[in-house]
Amino acid sequence: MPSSPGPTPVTPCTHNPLGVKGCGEAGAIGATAAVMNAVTDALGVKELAMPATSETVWNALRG
Amino acid sequence: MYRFNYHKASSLSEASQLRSGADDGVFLAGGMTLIPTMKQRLAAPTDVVDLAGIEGLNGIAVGDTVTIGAMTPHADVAASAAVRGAIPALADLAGRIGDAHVRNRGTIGGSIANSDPAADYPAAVVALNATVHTDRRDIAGGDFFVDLFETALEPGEIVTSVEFQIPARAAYAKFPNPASRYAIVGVMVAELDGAVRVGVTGAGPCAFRSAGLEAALAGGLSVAALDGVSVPDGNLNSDMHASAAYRAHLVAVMARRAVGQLAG
Ligand SMILES: Cc1cc2nc3c(=O)[nH]c(=O)nc-3n(C[C@H](O)[C@H](O)[C@H](O)COP(=O)(O)OP(=O)(O)OC[C@H]3O[C@@H](n4cnc5c(N)ncnc54)[C@H](O)[C@@H]3O)c2cc1C
Repeated sequence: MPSSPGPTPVTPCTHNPLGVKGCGEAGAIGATAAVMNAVTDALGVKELAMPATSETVWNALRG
Repeated sequence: MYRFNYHKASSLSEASQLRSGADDGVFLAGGMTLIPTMKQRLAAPTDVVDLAGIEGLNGIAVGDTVTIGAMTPHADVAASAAVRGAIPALADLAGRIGDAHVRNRGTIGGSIANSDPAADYPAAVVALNATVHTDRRDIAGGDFFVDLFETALEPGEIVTSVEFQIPARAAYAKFPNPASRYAIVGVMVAELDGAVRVGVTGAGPCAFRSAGLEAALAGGLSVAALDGVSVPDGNLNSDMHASAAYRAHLVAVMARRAVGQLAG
């Protein structure tokens, strides 16, 4: 398929100061971070390598 | 998959002959393990001898013991009112194997003959002091599983049925792999002939009884009796699903859950 240069309409988001919008997998990416934040918060640890399998969580619990 | 000859035997002796007459023969039950193994070219038998046409291998008989024919699919065991009445834990165990498709095709004979370390039935075979009947002899449940994917079966020996003792009470708890439902660890706790027996699957190279857990529970089936009891991880499996240390931890946790079910 030939490349098709054309107009790039710019419609900044009005709900945040940068005018940026999420696109593509934005929702999925956010969910992963939210879940990992919740897990580290619950365990009281700073960092946990993904995925948070039961064994990873068990190891973190044991310190 | 490589080319192979398919045979459907109509009797045990015919199945034996077909297999011994082949260069590299193998029995087929539900094909749940054998067929994928052949598709992946991990096995390349010259001849496949189907046991499905042999009469008397499929069925359940409940009397003083519970006898399950080798070709009986897991779904039939799970749905059997007679099994549920005699050994509810065995019906539960069968009902939690894999998914509906696997339970409709997979058989108890294929499951134990394979001695997959993560299979569920082996926990019941050792915990319920089962007898494995074959076309040649009877094998005590405690002697049947020898190692990873290795049993006491001789080449060409056919499992005909598995006969379970009926315990006063028993419960099975498993920590399933979230994708396959195979047991990362499964523990059956049973009270049989006045003694407590603990069968463990998923954790080691093959199913075994845990002497440590049995000793801890010898005074009575209470969760408190397991407080502080740990399981040695020395000879347990370590793989992508769980480390040996985590499996040892899970054995203790599953034992607590099984005992918890019994304590009400
Ligand atoms: C997706 C998936 C998920 C699964 N999850 C679980 C699970 O959660 N828990 C669990 O316990 N299992 C699980 N299984 C295993 C399954 O339940 C079957 O028990 C197992 O695959 C054996 O299948 P089969 O009976 O069809 O035997 P086959 O695949 O036909 O045979 C397996 C082996 O046993 C031999 N054999 C079969 N019958 C006899 C006999 N009567 N005498 C001597 N040798 C015999 C065959 O020659 C072959 O080597 C799973 C399987 C799949 C594919």
